[in-house]
Amino acid sequence: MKFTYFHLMPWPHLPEDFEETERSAWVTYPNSNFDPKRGQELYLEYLSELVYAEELGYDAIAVNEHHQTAYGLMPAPNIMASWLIAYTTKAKIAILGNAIPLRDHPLRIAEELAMMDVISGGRIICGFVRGIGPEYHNFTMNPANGLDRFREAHDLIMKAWTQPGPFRWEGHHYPLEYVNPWPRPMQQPHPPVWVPSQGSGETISWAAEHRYTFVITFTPHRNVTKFMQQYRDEARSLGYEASQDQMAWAVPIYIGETDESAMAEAAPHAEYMFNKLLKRPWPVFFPPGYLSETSAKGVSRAFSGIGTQRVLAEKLNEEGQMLIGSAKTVLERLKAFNDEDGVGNLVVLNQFGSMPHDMAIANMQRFARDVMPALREHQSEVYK
Amino acid sequence: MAQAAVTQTTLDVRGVSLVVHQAGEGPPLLYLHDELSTGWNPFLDLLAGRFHVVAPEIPGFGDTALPDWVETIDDVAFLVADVADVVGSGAPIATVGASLGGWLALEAALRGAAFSRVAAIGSPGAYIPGDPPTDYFFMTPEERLALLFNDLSAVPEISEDHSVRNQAMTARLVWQPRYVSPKLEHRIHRITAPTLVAWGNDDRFLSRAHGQVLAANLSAGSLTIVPNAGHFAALDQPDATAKIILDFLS
Repeated sequence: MKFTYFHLMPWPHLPEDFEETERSAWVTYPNSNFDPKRGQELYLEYLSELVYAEELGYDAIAVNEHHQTAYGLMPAPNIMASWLIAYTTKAKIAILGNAIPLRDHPLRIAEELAMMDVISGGRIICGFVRGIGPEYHNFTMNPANGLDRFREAHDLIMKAWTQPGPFRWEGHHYPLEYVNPWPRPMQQPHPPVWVPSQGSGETISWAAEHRYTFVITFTPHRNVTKFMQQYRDEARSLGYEASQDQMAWAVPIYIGETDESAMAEAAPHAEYMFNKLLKRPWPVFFPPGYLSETSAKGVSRAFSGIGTQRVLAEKLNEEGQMLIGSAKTVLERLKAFNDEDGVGNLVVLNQFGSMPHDMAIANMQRFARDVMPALREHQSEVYK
Repeated sequence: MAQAAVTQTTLDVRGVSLVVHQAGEGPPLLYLHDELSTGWNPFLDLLAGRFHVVAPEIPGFGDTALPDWVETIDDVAFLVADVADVVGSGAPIATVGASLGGWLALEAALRGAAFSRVAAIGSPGAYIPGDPPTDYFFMTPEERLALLFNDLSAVPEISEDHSVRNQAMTARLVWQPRYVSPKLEHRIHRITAPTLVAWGNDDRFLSRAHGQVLAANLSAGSLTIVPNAGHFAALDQPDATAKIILDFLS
């Protein structure tokens, strides 16, 4: 098992009555609530946690991209990654990911990532995402052809990295006369590609087809097992065996002295994340055309009740959507989960919601000292 | 009035196969549906008392497949002009469109569609800085219907399959730029067919100013208000709307 320290850089200062008074933490929550002074403190604390993760032995540190939201303060993940390159020497730097259809030109992403890969000496892990529903509202970008643009942007970037230029790109969305990016990436044929997803069947197939690492994010653990099995089955039908390295699970983890003290300490921050930072009307998350017809049909049924009931940390922990407990409990659960899911990369959020810096640092230390070493050696039953 | 006997067939237009609902006796009338529903409705029953109403589905809506080249209002408008040729066998025909369908009727007329008369009900398309259409894409389904209708009992039954497809295709056509064709007011004078713009008195989605801009720039056009109707006037007030349209077409 390898370990990635993943940060969302949440805004921790939402008011107590946010759930009652605000419609959404996404797209329309007024940015007058963003205080630049507090913002600077946060960026520096969060970045220092990521840098410290290298010292604690995490194999990779990760950032991501979201726009116009209190959920995360990283609209430009490559700026964060660039900072991290300068302050670290050996950790891989994962951008999970660049939302390629949202950028005016994918060639710029090919260039930026190649620059970072060269400067870092080949430490970049390259995540590609479509951008989630709210982002299509933010940019008034058409959700109905977002997947199409994603696929073309991806194909263009990969060809730009792997085929000698200049060449002509007869694209539909991004027609180009000359593709010839300088620099080229350090890692050959290209940096590793990770595909973060909530588990849509289409994405699993696509990731398996390209042999990319599939990253399942924030879902009850039974889904992690199901989706990873789906990935392995897909790979087998394509004629190969998926390796553990092709599977990653992103999960918030909090380690306390005891199960009880851990829950008491982490619950407010977990509940802040799931009830405040994720508050939004469901049409904002799934604009028309964003999902395939099959997926879209289930969504209105599945989501019509959401927001009416608070999510509780106890429940999130019980379902393995987050892990909260003593080192011993969490280690045992992670081993058991790993025997079911077979993932080779654990993408850990040790800071989540409104958790303050000191608490996040202590949590990282406990995780790195008391959970990581034993789990690193654990062999999943799936791969024995 | 007795309900018209509606038949569902397909129409082949230059290789594009469209599902078509039709009923009524008389001269042909092309009906272009709104973004909500593609099926038959009480308003069409009233038109079918005087016309042979032909209501094709716009590709991507209802049960009609989406050819890969159909991506924009411009693409659909040219296709509608081709549809009019087939429906009218080359002779000019009366055309009625609701909301998105009204806009497509205007855009098709600009692209040489053989229309004798055009009635556009609650047509988007005009660009008025500071007065955009309300962003119903940000709303829950309940909020959206309350915005669009005065009378919620007038909301047509729509299958989940159709609802998902209709919404996705609407987004494909109008998401960006949002329900506007900024150049329309500078071009719309070129429509030579007499044109009626009808507007629900209580349209909360698109202000009446949008109808006024369209009517003011048409060479042979006027604006008529439908009382007690929301954006989907023909569904909210089928009798009043049909009377206005039929008076205009006769």
